[in-house]
Amino acid sequence: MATLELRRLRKRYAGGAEVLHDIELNIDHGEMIVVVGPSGCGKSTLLRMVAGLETISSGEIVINGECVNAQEPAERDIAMVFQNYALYPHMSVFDNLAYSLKNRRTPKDEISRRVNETAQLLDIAALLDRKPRQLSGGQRQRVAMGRAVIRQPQVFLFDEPLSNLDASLRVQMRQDIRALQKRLDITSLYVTHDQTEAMTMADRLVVMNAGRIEQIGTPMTLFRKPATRFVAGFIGSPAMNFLSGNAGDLPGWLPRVPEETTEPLTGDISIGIRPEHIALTTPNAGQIDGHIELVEPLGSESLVHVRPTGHESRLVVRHVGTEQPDAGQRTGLNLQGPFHLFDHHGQRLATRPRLADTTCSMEP
Amino acid sequence: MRYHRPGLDVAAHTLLIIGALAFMLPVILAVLASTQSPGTLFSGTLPLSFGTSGLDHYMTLLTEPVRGVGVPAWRLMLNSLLMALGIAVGKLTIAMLAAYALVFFRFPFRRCCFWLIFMTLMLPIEVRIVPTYGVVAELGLLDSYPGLVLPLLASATATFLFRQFFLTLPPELMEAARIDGAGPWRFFIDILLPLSRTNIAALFVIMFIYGWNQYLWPLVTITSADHATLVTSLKRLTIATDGTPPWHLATAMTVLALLPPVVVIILMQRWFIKGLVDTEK
Amino acid sequence: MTTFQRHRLTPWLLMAPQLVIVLVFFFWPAFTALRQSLYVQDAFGLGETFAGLANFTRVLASRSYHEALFNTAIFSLSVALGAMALALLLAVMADRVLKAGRVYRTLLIWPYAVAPAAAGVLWMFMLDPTLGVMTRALTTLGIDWNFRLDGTQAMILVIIAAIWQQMSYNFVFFLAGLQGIPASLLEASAIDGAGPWRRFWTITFPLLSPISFFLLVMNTIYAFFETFGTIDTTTSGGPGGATRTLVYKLYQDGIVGLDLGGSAAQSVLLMLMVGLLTLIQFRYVERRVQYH
Repeated sequence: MATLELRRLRKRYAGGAEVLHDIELNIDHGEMIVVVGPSGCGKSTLLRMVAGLETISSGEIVINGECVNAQEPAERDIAMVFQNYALYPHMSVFDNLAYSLKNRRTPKDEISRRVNETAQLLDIAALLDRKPRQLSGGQRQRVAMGRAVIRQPQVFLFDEPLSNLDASLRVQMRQDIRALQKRLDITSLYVTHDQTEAMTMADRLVVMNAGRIEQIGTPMTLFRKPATRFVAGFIGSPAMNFLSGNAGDLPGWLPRVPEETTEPLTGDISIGIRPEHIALTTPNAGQIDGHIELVEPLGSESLVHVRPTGHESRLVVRHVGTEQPDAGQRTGLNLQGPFHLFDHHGQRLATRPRLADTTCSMEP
Repeated sequence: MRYHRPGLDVAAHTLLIIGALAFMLPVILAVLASTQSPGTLFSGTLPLSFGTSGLDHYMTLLTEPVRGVGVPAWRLMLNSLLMALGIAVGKLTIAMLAAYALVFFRFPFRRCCFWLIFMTLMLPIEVRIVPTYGVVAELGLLDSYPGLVLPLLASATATFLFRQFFLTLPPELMEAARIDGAGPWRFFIDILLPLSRTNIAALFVIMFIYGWNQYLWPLVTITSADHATLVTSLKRLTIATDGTPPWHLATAMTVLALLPPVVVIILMQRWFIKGLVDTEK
Repeated sequence: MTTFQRHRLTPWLLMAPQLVIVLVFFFWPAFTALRQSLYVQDAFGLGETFAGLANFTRVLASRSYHEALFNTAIFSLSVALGAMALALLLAVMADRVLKAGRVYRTLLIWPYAVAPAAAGVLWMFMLDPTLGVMTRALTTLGIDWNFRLDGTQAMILVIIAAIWQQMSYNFVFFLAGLQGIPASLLEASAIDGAGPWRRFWTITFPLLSPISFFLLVMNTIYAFFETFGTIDTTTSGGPGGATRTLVYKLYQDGIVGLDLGGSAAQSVLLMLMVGLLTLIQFRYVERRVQYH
């Protein structure tokens, strides 16, 4: 059981490029924190700094109240699961699991007891004599997990551990990892670029972009109230629609928008609407009409790309139901809201609490 | 994909068989000649069968001092073996350690070290044979095993191969080992060494052959019969004082000289080919 | 990639053996050669005087150096082209017969392991003027064969021995290169209607050109240096210097003749030639190797 704190953490490379700026993060006992962001946002660097694999330019990493900046990876009592698993190819599964214990001069009988326990826990007991190359992707993943679990570390670090698996296995493994983490109650930092994975696994989510934390919060908080335009666009699938323009001449078909802000709108703003908050209706029945350009059927629902008359940008509409509209048709659009407003820096503008937030589903 | 043209296949096999036989011919003839009595040999027609002398000439060479050399051939073979093993083991050791430092550590003048070592890649000892002799003389190592082996270690081929190989390993392997509590020496022994087995075998074959077959440097540095090597001593039997060398002995000695490396290459063919193709890529 | 940053002494311990060897047995002799090439030793080796480029002009002006240069050129070119052509032919055949190719590979690669000096002796025996098997065949063809007297014949002898020994090296590379050509390319060309002959010259051969170029350099280097043993055991550079190559001359002048200044100048010239080859080679290596 441990806490993990990152205090004003920075990473600068020798060339002068700063890839992480003032990262602040506090993680509670047993919490699963998922760091998500596009590739190159610095999330892996952050994780590797916690592991002790990257040097720290400034700031502190504190585990259980103790600053570990100067400690070697092995001294930090952390365990890490790598994207490519990094299993030792010449060692059997048993030896892979046992290696860290051997290096710590654990007695032989205790090693074999703990290896067997761990193997039971991860359902790999039958594989102990095999070499990594004789294992399937899912089995390797489990061994990599086992190698992390066996040490009973203070902190688990996961570096995109599921991205080498195929889709169905990924869904299975993310449930397994989540269950295991809860059961062992070990503080965890999990890095991924996959927002679905992030949403489903996290106690709290950290969205990163260009070396900064954009927002920290529970998955639903980030979904309902994204603090920045970046978070709004990154969390949720399909992604949020954005309409940009000057606050002074907002299109007339967005009449409700200004009413939602608590402060006067000025300058360039972005208005975000999630695809599920737009409904198709008959022409002339909604706020605006448009032209259906593309329909992507997904089974129980379809994604309908509509170009509103007189506008450049397309809106994606999530249309629930198995009957699908035809491309080329005219359609009306009913923009129900909620709307998300962002100023020209991409910061969220405060909005009034809306009735629709709670009663949305009651509307016809 | 292959064309189904039986004619081409027949032609290919024919050519290959002729080629293989042509390449074996000199050795076959040498083996046959080494079993003939000197009289048969010098009559002018070499019989295409084993001669009456059997292994007599080999026994003579191995037990009695070789003409013009002063020690029996077993001693020459021992010296050649020591030189070949010294070069193979020595090169592998220093090359692995240096490549390990170059790939897995960051230290001042690392790039400089890299270039210092890799400048030696293409300049064989033959180019600087005279000054090398001077250096070895100054170190008091003339006509000694260290003097024989050490200058031949100054080449970066093996270092280059190991560096290439280490660079193909996923860096996460070292990171995982660090997290698992392995320091640099542990990592080298537990992870790197076992993973390099194939490369070590391959380079061992190449370096052993390279070492066994050395000619010019032993010729220059070795002056006493006690340290003479087999390949360099061949000339003692091919120098013709009266026009024709003692071919019955010269062929037997040549067979002794080529047998060990040829056996090594045939037994370890798989590694040899991997090593050769990897080294030069 | 992260490294063992905290260990400052360890990399130096690891580097030390290789660095010491390279500094003592490579750079020290190399610089000695550079220095000696600029000095003239007196007759008793007791003193030396700075001579500028006199050693170089003396070497470059001498007839025997020109001859050695010419011999080396003929020898290297013949060995490289001969060994490569033969190897390519056999490799293409071995690649064609698939599984049996591995058997042929075993039958063809072992000469690599034979010492150049031993290869020389083997061919010297085959071509011995009085009792050589091939000499008799040549005599029936009306050729009067005696490499001990005829310089051209001596050169042919060492060229054959060197080709015989070097062919297998090229064979391994050509075969590996051929087997590395994606089958889809050859299939595409077959669908495009190319026959075996056309397919070889339009697809296979161009794809082998990097290997061929690399082998050309390696063969040249081999012919320059490693064939010393071949020459020394068979012709000792003779008759009349007809097989005296640059390295052989370097050995004769430096080790036998004790001309330190002259041999040092020859060393430096050889280093320049090989350095040039290395540079060319490096452009080739550069494309496939990343320097970190």
